[in-house]
Amino acid sequence: MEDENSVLTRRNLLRIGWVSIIASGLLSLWPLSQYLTSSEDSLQSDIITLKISPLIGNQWYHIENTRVWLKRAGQGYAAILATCTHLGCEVAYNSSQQKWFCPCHGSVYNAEGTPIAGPAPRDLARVAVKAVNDTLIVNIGKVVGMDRQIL
Amino acid sequence: MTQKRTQENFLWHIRARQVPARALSVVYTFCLGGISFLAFVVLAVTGVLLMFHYQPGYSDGYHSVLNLASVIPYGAVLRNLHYWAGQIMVITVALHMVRVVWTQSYRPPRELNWVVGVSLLVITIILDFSGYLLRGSQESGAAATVAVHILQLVPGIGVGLAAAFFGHPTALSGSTLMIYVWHCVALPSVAFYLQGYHFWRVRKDGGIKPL
Amino acid sequence: MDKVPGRKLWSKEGLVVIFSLAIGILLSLLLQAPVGTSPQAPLLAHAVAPWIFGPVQIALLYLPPWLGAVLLPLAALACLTALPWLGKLGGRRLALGSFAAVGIIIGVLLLWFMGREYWWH
Repeated sequence: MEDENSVLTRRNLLRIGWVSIIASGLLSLWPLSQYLTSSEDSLQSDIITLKISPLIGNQWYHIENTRVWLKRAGQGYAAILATCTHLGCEVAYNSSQQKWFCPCHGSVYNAEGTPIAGPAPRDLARVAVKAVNDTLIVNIGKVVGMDRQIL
Repeated sequence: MTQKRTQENFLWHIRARQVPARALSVVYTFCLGGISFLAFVVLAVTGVLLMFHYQPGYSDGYHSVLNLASVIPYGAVLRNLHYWAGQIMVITVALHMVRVVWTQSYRPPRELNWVVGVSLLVITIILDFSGYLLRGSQESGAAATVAVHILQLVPGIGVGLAAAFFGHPTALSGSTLMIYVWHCVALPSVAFYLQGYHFWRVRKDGGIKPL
Repeated sequence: MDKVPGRKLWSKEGLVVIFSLAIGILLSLLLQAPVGTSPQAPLLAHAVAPWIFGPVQIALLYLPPWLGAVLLPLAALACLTALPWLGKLGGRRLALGSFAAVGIIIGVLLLWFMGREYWWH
């Protein structure tokens, strides 16, 4: 039945089929991973602007719907990110105890954001903040040192 | 024709005319695998029904869960059934594993089916976790954030894996479209096929033999 | 090996299905599934993990994340997967022993979690 000299024997055809299925599967891995990991539809700006409010005093003040807390510091302002340095949970400032508390694994930071208890390894991040006329501009993408927080 | 033959073969294996007497003994299996499968079926049915009213998203997730739990007729019972079936499934799957170890049912020729069972356990746990995230509460946001950070610790693939599975959950709500699709479509489909294979192998490997 | 007609198994399975469904429906009529805290509510001071992940939450309190939440769970999973081959190597004792070791560690962490979050308050 089968022609011995033909390239397209049943066995060869099957082998070509398998190889092409595996090859196309492997080739689709990269596009698939790009498709699944894309965040193009959820890009967010790092810049937060808000009007200077008298509520921002010497205690940390939470900017709604962000992770940024602000306070007056010297002549300017300081901005801190309420993201736990352990595993990223959102920490909250308790103004009566003057401490930051993480809900997830019990890390505690002092008012300046330095860890004093729990598994947190580093200080809470300070980010750049700048006052322009009556507006505050916070750049949460720009982490600054504690000495350079006041702009 | 061949399609039909395979289906018949599959069903003959799953629903054999004759079964080993030992399989009838409740104290041998404690029906744990069967109850796990029953829970899976209940979860699939109630899950599809919940999808008609659930909306994934930062605040939509939590609000639709509240609506289901309070104002939608029978929504609360359906959600409770989905929740309790999920809790029971995790427990019965774990106990089923303990039973299999105790009766040494992992021994050759059943190594492959044991590995399939371990992957089903992992999928069950991921399904439980993603369902918890879809609740969209603050606790779920914290859990999602922690899970993302942990996954990102895995060298090489961690960051991509976290983005592909979780999308971008906030610290205050774990409900995202990505998790929704994994929880409702992708993972249950994989679990369904693995379970079919698992049951077929149980019969093929000789049902339940005496020790 | 004794063989019995399959329908005897089916009728037993049917009974178990009815019994389990009855228990499930009873549970869901009596006990409300929790909904958690709204994302619009004030920030939580303390977030408790679902009980199934309690062991991980406890491990993360005392161990670095790469160890407590990546390496140890993966090691436990590898141990479970390898059980048939552990059995081939060292017999029932080794298999049962390693399974029990994994189970006891998870069990202790779970009890620790339950005690910390629910029982001793």
